[in-house]
Amino acid sequence: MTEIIVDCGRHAGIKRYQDLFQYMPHSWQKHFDRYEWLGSVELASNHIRVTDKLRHEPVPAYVPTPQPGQRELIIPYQGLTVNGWADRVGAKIYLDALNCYAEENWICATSTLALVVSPHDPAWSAKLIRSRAATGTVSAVCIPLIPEMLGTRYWDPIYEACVEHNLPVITHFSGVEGSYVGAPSLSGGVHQSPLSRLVLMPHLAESNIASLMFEGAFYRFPTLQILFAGFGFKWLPSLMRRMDQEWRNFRSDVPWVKDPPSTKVLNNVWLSSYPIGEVLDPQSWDSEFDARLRQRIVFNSHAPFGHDTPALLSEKLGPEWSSLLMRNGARFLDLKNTEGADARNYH
Amino acid sequence: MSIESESGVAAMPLIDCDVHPLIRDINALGPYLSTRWRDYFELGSAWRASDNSVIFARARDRYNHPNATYRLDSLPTNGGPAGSDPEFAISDHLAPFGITTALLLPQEHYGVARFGNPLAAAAYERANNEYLIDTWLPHDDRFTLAITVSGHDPQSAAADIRRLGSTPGVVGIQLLIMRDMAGSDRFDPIYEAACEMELPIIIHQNGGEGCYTYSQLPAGGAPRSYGERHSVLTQVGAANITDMIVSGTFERFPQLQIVMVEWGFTWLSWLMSRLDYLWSCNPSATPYIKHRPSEYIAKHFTFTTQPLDETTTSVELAAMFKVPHLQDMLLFSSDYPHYDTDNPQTIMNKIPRAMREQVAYRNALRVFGPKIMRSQNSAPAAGIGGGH
Repeated sequence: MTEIIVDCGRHAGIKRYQDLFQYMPHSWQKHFDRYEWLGSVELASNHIRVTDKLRHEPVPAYVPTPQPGQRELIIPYQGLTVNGWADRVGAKIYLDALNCYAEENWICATSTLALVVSPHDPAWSAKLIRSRAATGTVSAVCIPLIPEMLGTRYWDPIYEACVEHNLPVITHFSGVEGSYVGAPSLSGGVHQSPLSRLVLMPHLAESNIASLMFEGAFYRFPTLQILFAGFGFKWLPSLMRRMDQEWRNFRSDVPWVKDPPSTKVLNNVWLSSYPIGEVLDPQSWDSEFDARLRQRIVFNSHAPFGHDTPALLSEKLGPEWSSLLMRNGARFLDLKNTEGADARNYH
Repeated sequence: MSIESESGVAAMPLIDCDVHPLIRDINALGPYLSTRWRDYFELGSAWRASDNSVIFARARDRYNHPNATYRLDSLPTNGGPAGSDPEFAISDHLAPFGITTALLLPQEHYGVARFGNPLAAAAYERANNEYLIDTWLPHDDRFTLAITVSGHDPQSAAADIRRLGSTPGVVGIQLLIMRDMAGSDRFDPIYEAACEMELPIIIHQNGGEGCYTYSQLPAGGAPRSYGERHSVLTQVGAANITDMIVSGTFERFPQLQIVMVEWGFTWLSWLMSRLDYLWSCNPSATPYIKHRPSEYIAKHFTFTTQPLDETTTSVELAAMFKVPHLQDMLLFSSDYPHYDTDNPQTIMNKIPRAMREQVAYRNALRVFGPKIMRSQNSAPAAGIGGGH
């Protein structure tokens, strides 16, 4: 039997912003029809600059190609960068158009969409989720990160809509974090190098997981599932131990958190494999990942920005763990079709 | 009580790299301040009493500790805040655990991280350093001190390092970091002086992280509660390590040693491999570094044990210590007298036998030099029996 390949984080972008105009009211077309915005499409596609080089290679266009045994979750990455936008009203128009374009152009029998919602207007986003959930093209809801932490009640309208439609949440950095006002800061202070920023991106996932745990978000939404994509996963055991330790010390301060945070991580949080290249000498650390924890990790290629492949995954983690990640990915993408808790929870 | 070595037989020295002294009465700093600065501080908020009778970094409405920041049983029997009585610290902590050396990391200084006035910061730090040199160091030769400087005025800090750095008992420089990352060349005068005096730089949380507009912070937004913030505070340590490497600090100062206190260490395996991988993908991203980033970490950094992660299985405990080069990078620390003080015997028994001697004293001896074994005048490299 051929192994199924499940990519829970494949990026797709448009080549010309003009292609979004057909999905916008005329007045908004006029608003966006300006050189600085239209001309920025290549810069926006320069997802995260690892260097300050002056030349940017255009990102290849995404063309959906159904292939037996393969499934992809498409992230319209240009939508993520609204976390750095100043015009939050315009951002919603843009996201609406981008999602429409994505549904019409990037979805096929083997690819489904991560619907990008506005982090600035949860009520509007909840409405968007409800309106698109029935189309069958959406497998997850993608939230661009802002300084409002994911565990706060600010996000409840979005989570309510997701739970209502069995849609998991996925979040991914946009690349402007630690740089633009309005986007979340990175750890420390002002970073001198884009390399530092890229290295430290996983801290955003750490902080938001801690927020989800200590704010008790999964007590409000016990079936909610959240995938932190593109942040790697090696750091998770250390975070889980720290959170449990802090909870033991201070559980009287957060009486709404009834269990060690690690139990909720194992039930409600997912991580992804990219960048698998940072996985060195698994034998020196893989014993930190017990069977339950391994059930929470999925494969993502990060294409076209990254180049992780199933073959590389297998080379780094070994065929058994690699195969498990693919099966985990299938479980994640099937969450929307699952009424019960079987697919959500390993136990 | 004594700590067993690898052989499990002989007792060995134990160097505690994180003990916090406090000043019993803040007025004791008076003689160490000029009239001008005494007036300045007496009229300002710094002199006002707080729960600890001292200033502290955190605003009282932000990340209040749910209980108390110190162990209730560490309050001196003769009164005063926890950590304010050297004799009580000996009888309560050093003597029972056979601690050979306690590295004193003064915590009144941590409030200085929020000072806006660099001259006031320098005056306050100077007074505090001199007070501790005069009071704690002569009290018992098991005490050693990290004098404290901040980045407000690096030239002034460097002058203080040169002035006080050769004082017997002074073994390191505690550097308060504010908005500027530790890799900034702004700190070069401090690093230059530290290298010249053969003193390591010690970086400890100052309590202001995530609180002030000009302090460093964990990633994301503002955590809501003390426990949530404390879960992710280690990120600030990781960020500064990254910044120092990427900015080429160790190419500028090849002898510089950095002791990271209370930032944890079990995330190191992730940081080292991620730095190496992302740098290998694009070495031109930083023109400063010449070796794999993890090599700089192994060569220039040490990390203290407290708070040691609590594990649920022996497999997990063993895995935690598999960080590359960890046996040469780990130093014992207790964080006495804070609420989460790690019991020396409990912790040392959790350290794998193969690295126990390094963690107990050998790594500290390498980083701080023989002067860290002040209580044992001519400390040989190994085979020292017992503590006090």
